Amino acid sequence: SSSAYPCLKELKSEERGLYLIHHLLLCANHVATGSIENANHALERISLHASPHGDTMQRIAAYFTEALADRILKSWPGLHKALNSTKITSISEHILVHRLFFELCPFLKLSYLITNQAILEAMEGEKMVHVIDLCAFEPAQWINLLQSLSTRSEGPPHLRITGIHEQKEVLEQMALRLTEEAEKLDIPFQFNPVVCRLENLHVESLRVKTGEALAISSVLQLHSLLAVDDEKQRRNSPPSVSKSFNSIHLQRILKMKQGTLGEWVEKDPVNICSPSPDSASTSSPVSPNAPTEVNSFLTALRGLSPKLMVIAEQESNQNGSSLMERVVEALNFYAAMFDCLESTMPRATVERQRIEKMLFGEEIKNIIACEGLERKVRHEKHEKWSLRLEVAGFGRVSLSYSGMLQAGRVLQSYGYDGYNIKEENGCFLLCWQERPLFSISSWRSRRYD
Amino acid sequence: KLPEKRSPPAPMSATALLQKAAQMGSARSSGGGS
Repeated sequence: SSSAYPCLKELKSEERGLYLIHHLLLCANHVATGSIENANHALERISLHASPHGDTMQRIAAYFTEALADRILKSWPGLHKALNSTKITSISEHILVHRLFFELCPFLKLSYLITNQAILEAMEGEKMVHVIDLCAFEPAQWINLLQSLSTRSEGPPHLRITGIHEQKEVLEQMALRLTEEAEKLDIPFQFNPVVCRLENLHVESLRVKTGEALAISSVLQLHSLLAVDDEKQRRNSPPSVSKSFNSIHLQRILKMKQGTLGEWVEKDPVNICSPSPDSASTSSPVSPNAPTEVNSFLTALRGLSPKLMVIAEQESNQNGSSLMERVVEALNFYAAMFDCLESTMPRATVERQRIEKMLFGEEIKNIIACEGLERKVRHEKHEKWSLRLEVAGFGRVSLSYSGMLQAGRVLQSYGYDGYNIKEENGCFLLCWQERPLFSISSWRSRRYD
Repeated sequence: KLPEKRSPPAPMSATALLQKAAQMGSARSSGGGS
């Protein structure tokens, strides 16, 4: 721009995007170091350009600022509680938005399809099959399995599905749909509902019987078990020094040349070149070998001797102990997720905004504003999950090429452009463009090796 | 690093913007001076 003082409102999409990234990171750094004044200024600046109705970066900025502000506000628990005192968290809305995500984005469809293909292959020739669904809310996955089993050359098995969900109505709905379908297909079927939050689950309630072949399915669920009580953790373990923040990536972004961003990027009094280590988040990093809840849970599952366990998880490191690390990882992950939606749906659709606000926005808020047991969105990469599963006594099973083919066919038939599936050591990575966003891997109790 | 792709005329994706922001940062840090 030739003008010395271009109106900020007239920024082109690209310049505005860079401006937003720069100020979001600045703001996060202020929040991490507890400079509330500065954080407030940054939030004010961002708010002039962020919007849940705008382009992808404007939308992302809106949700990230909300999350950062929520974190600041939590240092005044009274204010925070008061501002949230009439908030209604409805399970049905939660279910609805997950269903929208299932219908409009390919990731859940692919996860379900690949999981089912692995189950079909592992259960070939089995007469008694028991499938445990750790997050049972979508009947479509199991209707698909019932249909596939009905066409098995050796005939369908006796199928039992155990569904775990905290809401009784969700499981009742599921039982109804599945029983109906099984009757139609003439498959001997039983649905076993377990009304429970996953973290409170006792494996005895799964009623696994001898003589049945067991498969376990976990779609985007296990990371919630990584939530740890930081206080308790600190009391029980020797004090560990908070890892000082050293993401080169972030440092580079923070060092963005002000000139190239345009004269409108105001100089900031804070030294942005050397982000200081977080003072706000001091939780100790938990090694995958630490005896956390997830480890004992996985060990208990392995004790059931599953013939197969298929796990889908977000492929991202959002469980870092430092806030800045999490902000940068989340920015990268959700940028790709928002881009997916941008390519799949027009901006004005209500469904898209619902997914962005109630799914992505809430996840971003949880990653950034919460700590301890409250922080459930603790996505970790496949590498870390592999280590945990091996420690718990699971051995890897390679996913098959036919699963890959079927998944490819789904992408094609729904016209999902820009998505693809990569295979890496027998595990599948669901990618947007070249970026892996979800991993799917399959495992079995080593007893079967 | 991935080879440079021909960028579409459509507005930049958030992913591309983050990459650009990172590149601008690294250009500056390798260029020295402050």
